[in-house]
Formats: sequence, C-alpha cells, structure tokens
Amino acid sequence: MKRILFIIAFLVSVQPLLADGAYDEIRADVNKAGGVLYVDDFSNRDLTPAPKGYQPFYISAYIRHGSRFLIHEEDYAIIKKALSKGHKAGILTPKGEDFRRRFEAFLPTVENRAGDLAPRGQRQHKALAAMIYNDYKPVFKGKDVFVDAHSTHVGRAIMSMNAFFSGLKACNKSIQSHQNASMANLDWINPHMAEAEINRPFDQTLRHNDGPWYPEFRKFCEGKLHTQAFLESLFNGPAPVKDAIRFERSVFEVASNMQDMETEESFWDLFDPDEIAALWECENLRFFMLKGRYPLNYTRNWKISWPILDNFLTKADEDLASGKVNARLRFGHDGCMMTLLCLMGAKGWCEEHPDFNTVKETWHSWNIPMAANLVLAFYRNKKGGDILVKFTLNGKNLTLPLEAVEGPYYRWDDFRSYYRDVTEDARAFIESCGPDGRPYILSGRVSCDGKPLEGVKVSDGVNIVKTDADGRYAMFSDKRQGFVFVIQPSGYVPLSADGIKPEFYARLNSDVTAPEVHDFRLRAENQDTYTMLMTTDAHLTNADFKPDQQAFREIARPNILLQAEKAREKGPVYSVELGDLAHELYWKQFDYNLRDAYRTFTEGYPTLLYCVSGNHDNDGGVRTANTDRDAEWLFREVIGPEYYAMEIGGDHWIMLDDVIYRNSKTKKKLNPGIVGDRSYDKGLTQGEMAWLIKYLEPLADDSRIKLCLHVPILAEEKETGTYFRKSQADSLQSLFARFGKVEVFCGHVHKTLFTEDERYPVFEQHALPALSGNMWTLSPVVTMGEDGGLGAVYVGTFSGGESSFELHSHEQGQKWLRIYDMNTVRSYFSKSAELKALREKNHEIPDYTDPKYANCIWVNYWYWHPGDIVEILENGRALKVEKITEMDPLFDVNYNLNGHHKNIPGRRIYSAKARTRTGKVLVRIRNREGEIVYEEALKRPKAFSPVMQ
Amino acid sequence: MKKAFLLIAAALLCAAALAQPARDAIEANRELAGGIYYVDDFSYRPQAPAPKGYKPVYISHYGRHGARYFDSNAEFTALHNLLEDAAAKDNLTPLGKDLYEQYAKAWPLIRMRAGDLTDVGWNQHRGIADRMVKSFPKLFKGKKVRVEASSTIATRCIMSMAAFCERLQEFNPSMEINTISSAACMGVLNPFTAYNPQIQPTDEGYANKYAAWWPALRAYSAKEVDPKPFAARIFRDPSRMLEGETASKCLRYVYHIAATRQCGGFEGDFWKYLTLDEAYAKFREFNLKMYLSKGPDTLVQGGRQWAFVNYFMEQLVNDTDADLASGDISARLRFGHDITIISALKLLDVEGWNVSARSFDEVADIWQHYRIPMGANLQFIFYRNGKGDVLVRAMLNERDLRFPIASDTAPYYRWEDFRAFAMERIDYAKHILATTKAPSKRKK
Repeated sequence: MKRILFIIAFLVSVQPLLADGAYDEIRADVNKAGGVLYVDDFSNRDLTPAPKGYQPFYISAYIRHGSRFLIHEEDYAIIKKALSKGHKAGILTPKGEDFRRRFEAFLPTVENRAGDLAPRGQRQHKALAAMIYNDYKPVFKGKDVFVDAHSTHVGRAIMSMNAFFSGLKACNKSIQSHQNASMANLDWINPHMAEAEINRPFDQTLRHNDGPWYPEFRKFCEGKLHTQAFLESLFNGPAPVKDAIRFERSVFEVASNMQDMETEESFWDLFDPDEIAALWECENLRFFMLKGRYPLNYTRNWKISWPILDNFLTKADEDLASGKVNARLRFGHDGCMMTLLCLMGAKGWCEEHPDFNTVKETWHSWNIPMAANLVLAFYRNKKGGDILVKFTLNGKNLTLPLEAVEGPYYRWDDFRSYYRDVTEDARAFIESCGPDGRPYILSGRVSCDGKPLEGVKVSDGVNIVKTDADGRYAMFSDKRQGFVFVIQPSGYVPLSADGIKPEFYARLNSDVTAPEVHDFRLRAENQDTYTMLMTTDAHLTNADFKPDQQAFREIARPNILLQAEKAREKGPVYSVELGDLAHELYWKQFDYNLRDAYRTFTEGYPTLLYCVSGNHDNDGGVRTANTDRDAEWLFREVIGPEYYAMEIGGDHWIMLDDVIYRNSKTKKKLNPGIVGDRSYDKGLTQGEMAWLIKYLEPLADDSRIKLCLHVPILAEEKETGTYFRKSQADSLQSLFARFGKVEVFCGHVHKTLFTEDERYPVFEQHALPALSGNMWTLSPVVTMGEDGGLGAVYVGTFSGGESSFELHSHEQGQKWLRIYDMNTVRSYFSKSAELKALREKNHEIPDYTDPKYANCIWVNYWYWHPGDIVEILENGRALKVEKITEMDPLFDVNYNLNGHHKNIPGRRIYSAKARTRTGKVLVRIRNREGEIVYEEALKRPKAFSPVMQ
Repeated sequence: MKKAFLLIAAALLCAAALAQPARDAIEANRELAGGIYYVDDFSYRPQAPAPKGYKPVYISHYGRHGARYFDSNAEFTALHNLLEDAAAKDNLTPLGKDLYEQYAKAWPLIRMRAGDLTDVGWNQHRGIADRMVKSFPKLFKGKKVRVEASSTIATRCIMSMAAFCERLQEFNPSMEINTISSAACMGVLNPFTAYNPQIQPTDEGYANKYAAWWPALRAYSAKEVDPKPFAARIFRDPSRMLEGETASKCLRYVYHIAATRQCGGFEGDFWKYLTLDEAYAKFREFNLKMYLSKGPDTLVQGGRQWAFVNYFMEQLVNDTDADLASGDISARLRFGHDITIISALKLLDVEGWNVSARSFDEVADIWQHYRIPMGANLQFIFYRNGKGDVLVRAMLNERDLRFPIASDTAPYYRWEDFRAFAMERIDYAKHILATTKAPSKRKK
C-alpha cells in the first residue's frame, strides 16, 4: 500500500497546474457541480476491446438508483421560510423576489416526494439496461439467460431495479430473472445504513453532524464560501435565517437537483459561477470526509464495505461454478460505491489528503452520479486460458493496484486473491472494534510480578475500562486528555524508579487515530493499615524577598521525613500534595517554575507522592482559546494527569483539578512572563465531571470515598456556603449522597478549617494549613499562617474504613491552639513603639492595650471541628466563653511588622475573662459527643513574645 | 384447495344452519387458520358474461401485496432465543426438540426479512396479472395501451407492483406502464396513515395502542386462548422459560410461524405443534382483532374504524371519471394492504361483508379474514356499449360482488347508479367521522 500511495502522491504533486482541473470541468458543464445529483448519459465509456479471442460471459454489478428527489424536506422548508419571511418584511431584493416566485411555483411538484425515485430515474435505468445489454451482449443474448438481482429495501433502489429489468427484458424478452428487495441485503449492499446488522452506533456518528469531521468541515466551508455576499444578493439587511451556511447549501442542493426533475427551470443563475465551484468543493469534501481516507473516521467508514467486496468474490465463485447465473446485479446507493472503491484502492478514491484543498484533484463526486454503475465483467477465451476481468465505473476503466494483463484487463485469479486479502484485512479490523463500533485505540496489560491482574481499571480521562483475565485492557480514545492511566487497585502500588513518582500513567502521542500500547506494572503491598501524609501550598518560588528555599529545607522537610518514619511502623506510607507547589506569579521573575519546585520538593522525599494542581500551578503566561488546558502544560509535563484516582486499602482516593484557569485580560501592571490577571473559576470542568460520574457509577453505596482537590468545595464565609458554583455543589451533593460520607482534603485557604454544612451533608471537609504558613512571609515565625496557626503536615491513618488524623506542625509538634494571657499581651503591646505606630496606620487593628482585655484568656483554636466546645476554667470554675473576631496578637506581630498594615479578623478565637491575674486556668475542648479531646493547663502569667508557643 | 372453496361456498350458503363454519373449514384446511396469511390459489373460474353489446374499456384495481414473511424480526429472534435457551437447559420435550430443529432450519432464512414479499407472493401477482390480461385481452393489446400503477412505500407493495407490471409488459412489450411509489400516494392507498388529512394520531394504523377495542380483545383472549397445554407439550417445565417470555408469547410466536409458512421462504410443518382447537382459538382471536380494527364492528365502535376508507374510495371515483373521459388509460392499478380492502367492503355495503356481529363469539361465524388472503384484490371492470352507456362490475379475488343497487344485469351495474351509491356511502362515512371522536390518548 505504502508504495502505491507514494506513486499517487508523486503523480499529484507533478500536476500543480491542473489544480483547477475540477473547476474547469464545472465551467464546462455546470451540472457536474451537482456532484452525486449529476445526470450523466454515460456516453463517454472506454469500451476497451478485450484481448483477442476473449468474450464476456458473466457480469457482476453494483448500480446506484437513478435520479431522485431531494432526501430531506427540510432543505425546501428552510428556503421557503426564509423567502416568505423576507417577502413579508419587504426585504427581498428583486433577485430574491424572482427566486421566491419561481421557487413557490416549483414546490408543489416535490411535495411529499422526498427521497422518491424520479421519473427521470426510471428512464435512466431502462436506458442503462439497454446500454449494458449492448456493451456485454454475449452475456445477455439467447434463450438461456438468468439474471439474479437484489436491492436494498429503500423505495428508489427497488424501483430502479424494476425499471432496469423492464429495459433489459425489452432487449431480450426470454431473459429469466429473480428480483429480491430486503433489509436482509443491507450488509452487502449498503452497510452504512443503521438497519444493516454490521452497522454500529459509531458508524452513524461518523456520518452525521455529531461526528469528529463536522467542525473541520464547517471551518472549510467558512473559508471557501462567500455566504454573506450570497445572502446580500437575496436580502436587503440581515437575512432571516438561523444558519447562513446551511441556507446557502440548501439552495445549492435544490439547484443541483433540478437536473433530476422534469422541469426546464434552473436555479444555477442564483450563484456566481465561482461560488458554484466553491459550493461543489465543500460538498465534495464532505463526501471525502465521510467516505474516503480522512483520518478521523478511523478507516472504519470504508472498511465496513468489506461485505460488498466479499459478496462480489464469493458469488462470482459460486456463479462461475454453477454456470446458472449470467448476471448478478445489486441495486444500492452512492456512499457505499465510494467506500467500496476506496477499499479496493481504485485510483481517485483511495488517496489521502492532509490538505483539504487538494481533495478536488483526485476525488470527484460527480463520478458517482445518478444510476452510477460498477461493472465487473468476466471474459473467457474459447481456446482456454485464464479468465480475465475488467472493472469499470460508468463504463470507464478503473485503475487498480494490480498488475494488468493488457490494458484494463486483469487475471481473475490475481483479482480474486488480491481482493480476498483486502477483504479479510478489512473484516479483521471491523471485527476487532468494540461492540459500539469504535476501534480500540489504547490497549495494554496490567501485571504484578509478571502475572496478569484482572478487573483493574484503566482510564484515558474519558473512558474507564477493566482488564480481563489476561490483565488486558482495550478502549476507544480520542486522546483528548493526552494520558492513559491505571487506577491502582487496593493491595497494589505502581512501580516507581525513584520511589517518589508513581508510574501509573503514560503520555499519549498526538496522532489521534493511531493505536498505542501501554502496559502497567504494579507491586503488591499490604494496605490493611496505611498512612497518608498530606501537605499543601508549599509555595516554593526562590524569591529574593522571602526565605522559602532555606525554610523548606530546614523546617518543613525534616517534619515530612519525621512523620514518614513514625508512620512506617504502622504500615505503608504514601503522600498527597494538594497544589500550589510553586507560584506562577514568580516563575519568570525568579527563574523558578513548577519544574524547579517539584525538584526541590521531591529531593530525598520519603514516600510515593500523588499531586493535584493548584491555581498557582498554572502558567500565567498563557491565554488561548483553551486557557484552562493550555496553562496546565507544565503540571502535565512534570507531574502528570490533572485528574485520576487510586484505590488504597479499600478506599477510593479521587484526585481532582478544581481550578478552571481564565487568566483574563487586565489593564493592571503585570509581572514578567504574565499575560493576564491569573483569574480562575472554582469547580470541575464538564469533561472531568463526566469522568467522575463514570468512575462512581459502578461503586456500591457502602464504598469509602476520599476527594483530594486544591480549592475547597465548602466555604463558611459565603452565603451559599460554597466556593464552587451552587449548581455544581448541588450536583456533587446529589452525586455523592448515596455514599453517606465523603472526606474532602483540600488546601488553598492557608488555614486549618474543618467544615460541614447541612446543605451539603455528605461532605466532611478538611482544609489543611499551608506547608508554608503564609507562603513563608511571616517573621520570625516563618511558617505561621494567616489564622495564627502553623505550617504543618496532616497525617491520616486509615484502617478498614476507620480514619484518624493528626496535625503535626513543623516545629511545635501537634499544635491545635494557642493560649494568650492577655495581661502579658497588653504589657507587650504597650511597651512597643513599633506596634503603636502600626496601629496609627490602621485603626482597625485591635488595641491590645485596652483595659477591657485585662485578665482575659484568649484561645486561638484553629483546629476547631464542627460541634467542638471550648471551655475555659479558672480554679476549677467555668468562665463564660465567647467567640471574638479580634486579630490574633501573635499573628499581628509576625505579619504586620513586616511591611503590612492589615487587620485580619480572628476566625476561631475564644475569650473568657478571668477573675484573677494569676489563678490557674484550664482550657478544655469537648467534641460534639461531649468527650474531652484536649486539656491544657495555663500557668499565669504566660509570657508573650514573637516566638512564643 | 378446490375442496376448501367448495366448503366455503357451502358454508356461506348455509350460514344460518352451520354452527361453526370457520372451524369446519379450518379442520378441512388448516392453512385457513392463518387468516390474512392464507395463500389462495385464486383458481380461475368462469365469469358471468357481460350483457350484449358491452365491451371492457377500463379496469380500476386495488390489490393487496402478495404473500410475505411475518412482519416482526423481533419475534423471529425472540422465538430463536427462547428455543435455544430451552435446548441449552434441556427443557424441551421430544416435540419441543422437533420444533427447535425445524425452527433452527427456518430462522436463518427468515431473519431480517420481516414483511418482505416472498417468491410465492411475487408469483401470485404474476398470476393475477396473467389472468387479467387473459380475461380482457383486447384491453391490453395494441400500440396505444397505457397503464398507470401506484404503490404504497412498503417494500412488499412495490415488489408486488413490479411483479404484476412485469407480467403485463410481457404480454405486450409496447405497453406504456407508468409506476410510482411515494409518500404522495399514501393518503389514498392507505387512508389509515397520517397522510390522510382526515385522520387523527389515535386513529392511525391497524393496531394503534389507543384503539378503543384493546381491553375487549384482551378480555376475549384471556377467556378463549389457553396457552398452558401448548406450553406443556413443548417445555418439560414451562416455568423455566427464558426470562421475559411466557407461554402466551410462545404460542403467539409459533402460531405466527405456522400461519406464514404457506407464504413461503422456508420449509416445514408448524401446524403440528398446535391442536385444531388451539389453531381455531388463535384464528378467532386474530379474526376478531381484524374485525374490530377495520371491519363492520358495532359492539365497541361506531364505524369510525372503517370510515376513513372514504378518502380512498372518493379518489377512485374521481380517477374513474377522469380516465373514462380521457380514454387514455386501460388500467389503473393500486398496490396496498388488506385494511383498505376490508374497510372498502363495508363502505360499499357488499353482501357478505356488511353484517355486524351481535356478540364477539358470533364474529367468526359471519366474518372471516381468510377471505382477504395474500394478494386479495378488488377489480372494478368498466364496460361500454355503442351508445356510450357504461356498466361496472366489481370483483373481490376475481369473484363477482353484489351491492344493494337496483340492476337488471347484476353483477353488472350502471356506472351512474354505482357512482351515486358510492358517493352516498362516502358521505355516510364522512358523517360518521364528523359525529364520532378519535380514541382518547390514554393507552388502552
């Protein structure tokens, strides 16, 4: 095949000046622009004489029905409606009014005739029968002639067959025949119809407007046609049409069809000649896309015609052996003739055209006109020798990829054996496709220690399939997500070269229709009890104004290593990182992007690491027609798929990307390398949501689900209670409701927040504090966060459905809260001129020296869980505790003394006024069940300092 | 076959005397239990000669398509799956195994062919055409013969038309035969489709789910058709039938195969799986359904069910006027379906087709759908004398019909009289439509 394509490509390339060949033909005969609606009298037949001594004795033919009315009433309706509206509004041009008059006069002749064989079509078939009779007289003459004929169940094909026979019998009334019309014939006369048994849903998609070809087709039309000028010739002002290109093409379709009707009327005059050619070129391209070697039909559209070719070969063998059938006729349709010729490698029908503009150099739809006919004629020599065949289209010799004996005559044995192979190859491909007709594009094997694993899920981000008993998976994919990944099953983890990056995915190449094979190897691991180290918002930037590199290495990383070591005693340890590993604002400015951050973060990392993307992991230098995907490029390159899942110890970990990056235009001054405002919507894209639904669908109601995403779903401070759009949050609540409870782990807010909302009862949301505190900007406590809490590693231990969590700060162990003796705070603040000056700049900052705070005990309890109650006792007696909104004083010192002047209200600060200055204070936390979960005794006075605990 | 006809004739003459004429006929010829699937050989028989001086000048015809396969691919497959499943489970009796083997041979030949015309049907239409040209040779001889033919869009009707016209053309190769099959013809050829402007959606078709008679028919079936003995003969344990299938469905499937075997396309004897009583019970059920759908029922409906055929009949009258006036056309042929013929027979108040039953039980005794077999046809033959007087004579399946029209020369009637009578009946039908309501949209 490759060699033939090279030759054809070469031939095409040396004929640049004939690029206008098709247009010339249309200029010479405008009716050719009608394409498959063309009426050809077939007078231009080759009729190459057979080699000496050879006579035809059998023909096998495929004949298209004759002239017909348009198939879709809608074409007429669209035109009628537009002209009628235009007329009523008085906006038709004189040309438009004339068209309307002529069109309305023509309409009654086509009413209720959609798809019918036209009288001209009957005449064509009678004439064609006489023509074929005369061209192959030895086949049809005499008293002992039998002709077997089949048609599809479509009226115009049946009527064509009937008309053909009336013409044939007029030539020789002793001809015996058998005519059969049935849906049962479809597989081998028109396998493109939905009713054909071989036809699958995907085949219908490939030929309708929901197919992958359609957007490219529309784009081509928009580039080629002068639709606006056409509309302006008919309408003054905006044309009353919904779809301008559809309208123009409908008028073109009607004009093309006039040659098939009984009228002298013609509507070609509505168009410029050049526009006629352009309209033909678009429609011609459409046929090429649907019937030829256009890659996005996965070759399925033309390989599905293998039963037609098979029928030719098999029946020829039968008929030649029995000698009882002189001619075998099939009455069908245009599309299958094109795909048959493509399958057979006939010149003009099998070429590829990466550039749509060259399609017209080889593919001409008018070559499948009304009553188009393919005749395979068999010749023999009385003196013996090979049987020869000649294959013609409308009487013209076809060039096939076979060696001919003489001119267009081939040895039947050669023809038969070559095309038997072609048929079998095509059949094998069609049968290798999935049950819905889509071919398997991605396949591979999942194994552990060389042994196949059955029932393992593999996904391309759209489809999810399972491996069979051989560990094999196969799926259709349009490769839109660019990855194939295994969803590791419980009890197994992916292999990893460095022990950190789990090798659960493979990158796909950009050749969308090319099959790829990707195997996945796993190793077994007992996950009865396992630990997940969770971190978020590392914000590594290498900036010159904060010590993130040093602080990460010296403060945060040792904590990660420590937690990993401790947890290993219980079982395997894994990690998730919940986004904002770097910070896009500074990628260019400090020449340190996500790749660098990932390298830093994973230096000596102690476990397998699974990441999700944060908003700052997008490239702020990207704004395209598809910003959300394109800005993700570096995350996809360095880390992998934006969404995926793992099954660990019976738990479903679903890793999602809930940032829809917009990066809109802005007039503000931009950092180097940034082109927009770095804005984003919070939520899941449609595609991701569809995948999530697919993933959840087969899971039992008692499945345990854990979601990891960057931006929280629930937001206490918002009236709707969500960061996500309310409609999507509602959808997620409905989707997850049947599982009872779903743990959500997220970051982004740089605070410790445990959130439940009775409007979304399924979610138990854990927002983790940033690993970096407030992005490493506070001082001297570099890892303090905006809520006064500390940068930490969240350690989740999971065992058979039981979860337990610990929040381990980098330097102060498990720290849930901080207690302030406001007497020492007052004293500290009153002694500091700096802090006083700070308050001058922003009066919203609380005056901690205010006497009202005397003897107060403040508890900043960032680790608050819903239902927790804070008790403050003095000398055993419970004080009245109220929640206050004053800013945490320690945060004030660490934050505002570094150039800020902000008042950040406290979220979880509880205050009680003690009676004494030094009486023993006890802070106690009870959970919603009333159990005491924390107690801390406070010896007063408790010193206040920037680095206090 | 001839024997069957003599019996039928006798049955008709002594209708009052015989208790169950249809049962007796079926006992003598099981194929009649197929009802509209019956394949009659339409044996040629001498026709009453035209009155002196009258020559045939024009034929107006309406023919049901010829023998066809049963019209449900889903049933073919359902029976196949049901029997395969039973065989795999070893749940078939010896008779059941016999059915399984016979059907296994038939299934590949019939699957995907639901509703198609068979070779038997093709040859039926050749035969009807053959007898037409032989009965009226002068009408079809010569250089200026023109025939107009139209067909519904059903494949089997188009092919019936093709078979018929092919035979005509053989008789006279210079004959001009114009054929058309189109939605544009549908309103007239099948006035029970949406193409008839008179029709409402709930009136459409032959067994529309909104039809008023469904509850009555179901009650009748429940009472009269007992599928259990049949199921017990075929299955060792009928309760283990493939899920979703029942004894009643299985009997229905096998009855349909048995009934259509005579239509051709496959071999075997499938009546042997049903007793005479079962065959007769299924016949009566089917017969009642057709009677209610398009026949002269007055128990459940007011005539609306057949009245829509006025749209066809009025067009036929208009065509006749035009064709008689022009003299250009020898025959106008129309290819369609049984329901148009059945309802037309009631519209025209034809003897033997116009009596309404007084109970469901009585229906089979006075009205039998095997009299509208495959290839059933109405032919109106027009004769003219030297003075220009026109007579018409109507045949159903090539046997003369009688009408309540005064005539000295019955079955030949003066065209003016026949025309006036037909228009009166058409007006009556329109009146029925105007004074009755379409069935309600609630599924019965």
